[in-house]
Order: sequence, then structure tokens, then C-alpha cells
Amino acid sequence: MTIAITQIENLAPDQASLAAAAKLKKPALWPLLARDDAGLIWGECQGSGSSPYRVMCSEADLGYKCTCPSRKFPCKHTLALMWMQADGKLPFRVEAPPDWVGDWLARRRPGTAPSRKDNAGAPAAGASAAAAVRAEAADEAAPEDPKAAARAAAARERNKAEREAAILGGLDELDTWIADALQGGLASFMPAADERCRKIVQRLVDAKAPGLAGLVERLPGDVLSLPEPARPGGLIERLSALHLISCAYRKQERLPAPIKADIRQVVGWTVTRDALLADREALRVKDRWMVVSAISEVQADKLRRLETWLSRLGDGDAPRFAVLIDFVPVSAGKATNAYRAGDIIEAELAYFQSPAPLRAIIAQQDGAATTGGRWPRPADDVPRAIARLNELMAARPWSGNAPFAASSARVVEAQGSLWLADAARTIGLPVRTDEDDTVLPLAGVDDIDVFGRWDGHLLCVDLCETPLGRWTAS
Amino acid sequence: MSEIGDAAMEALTRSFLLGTARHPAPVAAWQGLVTSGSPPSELTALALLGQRLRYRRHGPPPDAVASAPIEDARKIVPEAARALMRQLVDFRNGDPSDIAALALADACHRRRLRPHPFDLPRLRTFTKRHGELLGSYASAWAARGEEGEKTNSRYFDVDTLDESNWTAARPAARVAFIAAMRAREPERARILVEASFASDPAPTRARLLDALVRGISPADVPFLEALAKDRAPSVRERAERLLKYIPGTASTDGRLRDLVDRTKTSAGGLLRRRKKLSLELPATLQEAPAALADDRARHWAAEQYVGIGLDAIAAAFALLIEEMVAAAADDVQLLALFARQASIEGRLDVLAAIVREHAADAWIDAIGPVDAAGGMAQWQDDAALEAWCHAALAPELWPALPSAPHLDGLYTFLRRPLPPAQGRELLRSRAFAAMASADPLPAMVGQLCVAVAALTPAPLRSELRATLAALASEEPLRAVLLLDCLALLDPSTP
Repeated sequence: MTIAITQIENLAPDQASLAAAAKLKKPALWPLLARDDAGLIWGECQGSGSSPYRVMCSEADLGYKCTCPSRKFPCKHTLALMWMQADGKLPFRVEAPPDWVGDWLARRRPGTAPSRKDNAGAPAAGASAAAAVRAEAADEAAPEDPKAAARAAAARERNKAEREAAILGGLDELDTWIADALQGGLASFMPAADERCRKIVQRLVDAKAPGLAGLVERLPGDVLSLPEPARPGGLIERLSALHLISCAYRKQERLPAPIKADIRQVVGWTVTRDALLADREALRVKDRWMVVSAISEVQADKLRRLETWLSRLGDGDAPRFAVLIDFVPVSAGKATNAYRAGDIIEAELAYFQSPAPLRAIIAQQDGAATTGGRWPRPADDVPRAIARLNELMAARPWSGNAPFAASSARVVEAQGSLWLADAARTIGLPVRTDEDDTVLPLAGVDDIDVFGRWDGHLLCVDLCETPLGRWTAS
Repeated sequence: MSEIGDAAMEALTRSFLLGTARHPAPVAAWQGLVTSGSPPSELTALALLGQRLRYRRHGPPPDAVASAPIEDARKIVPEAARALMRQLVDFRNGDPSDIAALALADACHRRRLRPHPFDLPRLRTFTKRHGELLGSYASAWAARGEEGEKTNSRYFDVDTLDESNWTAARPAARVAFIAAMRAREPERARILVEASFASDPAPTRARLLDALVRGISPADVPFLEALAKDRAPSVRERAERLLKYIPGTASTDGRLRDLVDRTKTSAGGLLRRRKKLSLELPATLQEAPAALADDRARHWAAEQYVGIGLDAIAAAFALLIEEMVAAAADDVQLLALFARQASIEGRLDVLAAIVREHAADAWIDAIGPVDAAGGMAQWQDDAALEAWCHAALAPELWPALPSAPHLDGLYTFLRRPLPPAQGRELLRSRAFAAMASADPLPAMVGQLCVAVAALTPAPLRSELRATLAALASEEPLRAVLLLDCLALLDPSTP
């Protein structure tokens, strides 16, 4: 397992960090450089302080940590460590990870870290990190006082009941707010949308429904990003979805389990990774996956949302797509997605419950990401892919982005906008464009296999296989 | 359950947009969609309408007048070169304006390659600047949204131009065509230029005038004098400059008299008395800061008196040309003038004598001012340029590596790597070795290395790459990238 220089370049926050890292590639500055057999590297770099900085990195997913106070992520020490490993010129001692590396591993997202080999009482070599986490959780739970546990459980139930009541109150307020908007007229809603949404967002946050609050907060921006003629329809659709969520939440006990679980997540109940990994009912799919889109977006709540869309390369009936969603604080500096479009990973994914499973986490990854190979041609042409899109939307009537994959498509330019159409131009979807005209070179290229995300109005094209080679939006 | 028609949808949408307080929502029409006996509430109707909108029927894209696809017979650059090109000249991280970008564009032009269409959005500044060297597709892409785009999209890329189609070609191709014809039939070339001038934009007119420098003669005077009234200052300036090059005109005679008046003649030498020439500079130049004085004075002398033939100057001093050059050995301004004039007249023996016996850096004056459109060498053939390089460049005599702007100027003048002999001399010169071993490395070493990389001929790229890679600095990284990219685009310079 080795890190490629290009991966390091992509990961670097700026050129200055790379230049600074280059200056640290001297053995004299590194009293310790080591690795294990499972793709973990670490080292100690002598900085300006009395004690060296401790730097650690997982080759599998390029996760990293450094104890330096830099506000750039990754810092120059991390980049230098990766770079030295990629160069292969300096020797890395092979040994068991020290405690400080082990601590970091234990705190990391389970599943993506390489298997950990500890000395005693730890899972055997080769056991998945997920299993390790479950074992740790069980160990921690065992010595608890039964009375204290009962009190904690009762408190949890009480909090849950209070939250349920608060959410129901928030939903009532949301419905009233929507009804008021209808009464006043949606034509006059948009000019003051920010102000009007802010108030109900605050109420929904107070009602402990952060998911719904986020949907309302994004509403003005989402609608304004549409072409002007589509905005009234876009606003109606979004308000309609909010009311639908509100209704579904109130009637959740009568809904099938996947829909209930989905609607609770949409409203704001979270399922922790540990809980999902421990859930034996959760759908798990082990296969080779290609990254078809890697998105980094800053949200209004100062969190950077990292979305990684995966396309399953194997055959079978399991879901063809998955999306991994991570959040990092914007204050952490420029954070890039660990994966790039075209990367291939071999992994077992655990899906969150949903009538149309899409969001997932990596339960177990085997080896580092590789590149190469063509994205397999989708089975559906454009008309069939649109029909499949409708099925997906029917399964999750409140869904936002839905994956779209079609073969033998072409991008056509018509009346100043771009469309993805079938070869005969019998049907098409409008394509989202940007000021860089990134999609424009696809116009006129025949026989495109395309992956994109349909947001209900526009198709955001992410990856295409074309006779001219692969095209990616990033 | 019944289906809802478009009219019902429209009525409900209208009500929601205008406000249900004043335009009550016609929810009765939606009753068939709900199981309860009473009509749905406004909110339920909203939810139904929203879902109905989600499943809008997708139709074919709107019809549009399809513009003719732009044909480009050029090959796309090798796949391995794409990432390097993006790294060098993309608008986010690269620099599309430096010599590396020009060298890449020239290599594409030479090898008839074009950038990958998918890279054009990221290379947009590069294509805007060098579009005409990158094929019709990139050229049309660069011209998108500009005034006259429709005209530009007619550009084509053919190997052979003739008198019937040359006006429809891209400006660079037109200039090359006129320059080539000027070498064969100067009169005919001028007539073609005159005929197309009225319909050409100012930048093209200016470039076409540049192409007339070769074979300029008194027959061109009426055409050039008529351009004194051209509406574009750049065209007027170039016409004026060309008029300077024509011997026998009133301007030339006046400047020759001025040169003789300004030049002091004295005698020197103990055993053998010989003439010495020295040019008296204008007072404004004498007051220039010391660091700039030399360059400014050389530039002034060459620009002020260029176009007066070497024979005429020598005759005015009653000397042979060789004697005149020897007499001016201590005067860098006069040597600059003679080097420029020798280069223009193709008197490479005189240029070589100046460079090897008196001023190794006289090539800087010989080049003259070069702009983004390139020096006059771009329309000279390979053999002529090789001969010029052989005469003008003697890197083994350079006391130090020329500055980065001067080397940039040399590449802009040549628009191709040095001939192998001069390239080898440059890499093995004391000046280059001193630069590479300096500690610390000189200022602007990155730009210096990029210029050297652009000038290095294909067989020597690996040698230069090894030298740059061994430097203890990240600054030459861009030059290394350029070498790697050129190795893929232009594996062997013709």
C-alpha cells in the first residue's frame, strides 16, 4: 500500500504547504519514522518546540492527525510524512503502533482505519475495526452499576419523550407557517424569504428538529438557484415536501419500518455510526465501489458537508449507489474529500434504513483506494433512467438529490441552456451549469454514459465516460 | 381516484401564488385524490400539488438552430500530458501568461496538437491568450461570447494557404503566409495586404505590417505613408517604424546626419593609430540611474538609428564595416546599433564578429523589442534561425547567465528551442554552472529555469532535468514540469 504523489498534492491545502513539507523531508528532523503491516504510518517531527510533533496517517483512506498547532489541514508535517512514504527513499521501521497512535485509531471512524494489532486483550489481527469498536463498547458497558444504568435509561426515555413532544409542537408551528405563507401568497414570499425562514428555523431548532430546520434554512438558496421560471414551482415543491414530512412524522407509527426510520432521520433524529454498525437489520453490501462524485460544500451552519457518491461495480440486486456524508467544521480550514472521482475501493457498506437505501457508512474497507478502469456502462438508456428516477422519488417523496445513471446519452445545447437527452432527442433533462462552463465541452459528444444527481429541477452531471475519455465535474 | 388535469393544477398554483386569502384555493377539484369525504385542506392540496409537480412529464429538449460543429483535424494531446498541462497553465494554480505557457502553445502548434476539449474550461485563460496556436476548436472556445464570435468561428486550420483562402485563416497563419510570400514576391505580398487591410481588425493589421519587414524597399513607401492616417495607433506606429527601415528616404538621411553629428571620432593605439568611434548620448539618458543607464542607452541607440544600412553608416565614417565595428569596440551603444542592423540585414558575419570579439551579450540588442506576437524570427525558416543562433549566441563567452526577462525575450524571438549546438553550449557553459551551484540560488531562479527549459532542445531535456532536480530548492519545480510536458508533446524538435 503506498500513497501516490498526486493524492498528496490533492490533499494539500495550498502550494505553500507543499513547499514547506518539501523542506521537512530530511531524516535529521524525524527521530521516529515507522509503519505497520496494515497501512498505518507514523512519525515524530522535531519542530520549534522542545518535544517533537506526533504525526500519524492511515494509507487506506488518507486519514491523518498531527499534534502541531497549525490551522492548516493537513499540516506540513502530515504532508511531509506522506511524501516521504510515497518517495520510498527513507526507511520506515516496521513495528507495532505506539499508544498514541492506538488512541487516535480508537477515536477514528470505525471501519475505515486499518485493522489494529494490539498486544493483549485486543481483537486478533485481521479483525475489523468495527468489531473492535463493538468489543470496546461491550467492555465499557459491562462493569456499569445496574441501578445507575436503570436511572440513565429512564432519563433517556424521559428526554426522548420530551423531545418527541417538542418536535410535534414544532411541526404544528411549521404547518401554521406554511399556511400563513399560502394565505399571503407565495409570489410575495420570495422577496422576504430569508427573513421569514429564519424565524421558523429558530423555532424548529428550539423544537429539537435540526433536520427540518436545515431544510427550511436551505430553502431560499435552493429556490434562488433555479432558473427564474422554475422558482414558483420549486417553492411549491419544497413547501409541499415540508408538509409531507410533517404529516408522515405524526403518523410514523402506522408507517413501515424503513419509511419510519427515514422520516425520523429527515426530521433530525440521528443514528450513530456505532448504532448502525451494531444494527443487525441494517442492509450491508460488500463489493467494489467507484467514487463517481466527491463534493465539498459549506453549509449555513458553518459546517462543511463532504459527500462521496459511490457506484457499485458488481452485479446483483443490491442498491447500485450509496452516498457517504461527513461533516467537518469550516474553522478547520480547507478540507478536501479523501476520495476523488474515479477512485475504486473495496468495502462493505452499511446503509441507513430507508425505503430507497442510499446514505451509508463504510463498515469495513479492504486496502487503499485504487484508480483505473472504466465506470461500467449503466443498463438504462435515458428514458429508462428517467423512469427509474421516478420510482426512486416515489419511494422517498421528500427526497432531495437522487442518483441518475444513463447510457448512450448526449448533451445538447438549446436556447442557451444544456440538456441531457437520448440519442434521438425524444426526452431530456435540463443540466445544471456553472460559470466555468465545465459541462459545455460535453455538448456534441455522442454516446455518453453519465452519472449525475437529479435535484428535482436540474441534473448535476458528475461523471461521464465518453469516446474522448472520462469527464469529471471536479 | 381521479386524475387531475392541467387546468386544475394551474388554478391551484395561481391561488397559492396570489394568496389564498384573496383567491381561495379551488381544492374541491382535488377531492378525488383523498380518501376522506370532505375536500382536502389547503395544506393537503399543497402536498398533492407538490408531488404532482415532481413527476412533471419530461419532454424533448427545445429545438435550436444547431451551429455547425467546429472541425479540428489536430490530434488531442497525449493523455499523460493533460494533467501536466493543467498544472502548468490552468487558471487556478498555473500561470497562463509566462514563457512556459508560450512554449506549450508553440509545441502544440508545431506538432499540430490541441488541448483535450474537457480541459478547456480550466485552461480558459491559456486558450484566450494562445488560442490561435491551439487549433480551431480551442480558438473558437476562446472566442466564445466575444464580439465577432461568429466571424471567428469560420476560422479553419489548413496546411496550405493560397491567395484565394488566406484572408479566412487565423491571424497567425495569415501572417506566416504573407511573410513567406514576402520572401519570394515582396511586391505581390504587399498588394495582398493592401487589398485585405480595409476589412481587417487593428491587431491583425498591425501583425500583417510586421510581416512586411522582410524585403522592405522604397516601393513600399506610398503604402506605409498612407497608413499615417490609420485609425489605430498601433498600426500608425508600426508603419512609422517600417518607414525607418527603408534606405534613401528623407527620414533615413536625416537620422544618418544626426548619427554622424553625435559620433565623436578620435584616434587611439600607440604603435598603430586607429580610429575610435563614440556616441554622445542625449542629456536625459546621461542622467538615468546607473543601474539602468547602460540598457536604456543601448536601447535608445538601436531604436533611434535602426534602418540606416550598415553600408551607409560605414560610408559616412569613411570606413569599411569591419573597421567601423572595431572602431566602436569601446562603445556599447554603437555596438548595439550595429548588432541590431546586422541582424535585420542578415549580415551574420558582422553579428558574429560583434558577439565574439566585442560584446557577448549583443544578441539582446540584435533581437530588438519583442512582444507577445513574437519577434521577426517567427516567420524565418529553420535554417535561417539556426544560422542566426550560431552567429548571435555564444554562451561559453557569457560572464553570467542573462536575466530571466532577457532569456524570455530570446524564446519569444525564436519561438522554438535553441539548435542543439547552442543548447549544449548553454547547458555546459560556465554561466549556467555558476547559476546551478550558487548558494543561495539567484533571485528569480524559477523563472530563469523555466526560460532555460523552454530553450532547451529535445535531446538535452533529460540532462537539464537532472540538473534542476538536483538543485536544493523547490523553485525550479515548474521548469521540471515544463520539461516533462514538452517531452510528451514534442518528443524531438524538428
